[in-house]
Amino acid sequence: MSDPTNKDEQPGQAKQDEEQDMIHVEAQERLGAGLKTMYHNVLQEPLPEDMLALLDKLDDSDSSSGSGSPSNE
Amino acid sequence: MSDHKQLSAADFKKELAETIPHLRAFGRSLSGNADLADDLVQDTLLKAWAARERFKAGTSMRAWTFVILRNTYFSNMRRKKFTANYDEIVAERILSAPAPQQDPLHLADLQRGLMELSDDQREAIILVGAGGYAYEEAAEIAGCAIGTMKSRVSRARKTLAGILKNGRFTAASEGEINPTETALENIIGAVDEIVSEVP
Repeated sequence: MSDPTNKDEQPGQAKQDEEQDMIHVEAQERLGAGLKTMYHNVLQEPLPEDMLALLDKLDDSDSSSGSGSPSNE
Repeated sequence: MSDHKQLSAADFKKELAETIPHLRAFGRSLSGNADLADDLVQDTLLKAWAARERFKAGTSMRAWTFVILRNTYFSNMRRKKFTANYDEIVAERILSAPAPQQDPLHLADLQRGLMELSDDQREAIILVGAGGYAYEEAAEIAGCAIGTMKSRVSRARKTLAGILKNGRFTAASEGEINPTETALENIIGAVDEIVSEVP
């Protein structure tokens, strides 16, 4: 006689578990896609002017600081 | 005197410039605030330039500068120089961003959900899930073991999925700092603060 509490013998439960797994996988895929989109949206943005200006001034920062050690502030 | 191969100043600057978009993306995801992220990037550029003799030619400029940015961010967080918070303006901007496939996931909710995570989990999922870093590279940037990184990413995914599913946002995404997870990590964090922010 079969054990009614044995999940292995309950196709309905197995199907439910499978559906739950699918939902979980889909949620994780959506999450992954969302994270990548969020990150890549920033990559596509034009750089702010002040950041480009800072790059241009980097050489000057050597002469003004007079030292090669980085600030920890 | 360093014994490794260095880039010329021009090459260093060129590689540095190429990392800026990634630094901005990493900084914004980490802090949840566009202005704060750009301040972080500027700090990072200055520190990287000042420490350029320590950069080894042929290694990853992006990973090197990410370490500087995350150390600066966490150091500032500890000093309460600023707090991570949810940026409504950024949220509106990313809310209207084109979504992949039929994705109904609101990116603004996602950014807000990220701010609900502990700092280490947020950093982990940004590096691996958003930035596409391998666990090994992400662990190197975060200064932890690969197993720790895998565990952080796994917990972050689970927590974030739960938050997004239930819409369970708290004050944490509106300005409060999330503590790191364990006492050990707090100690490591304190040591980290003492040590230079530049790798």
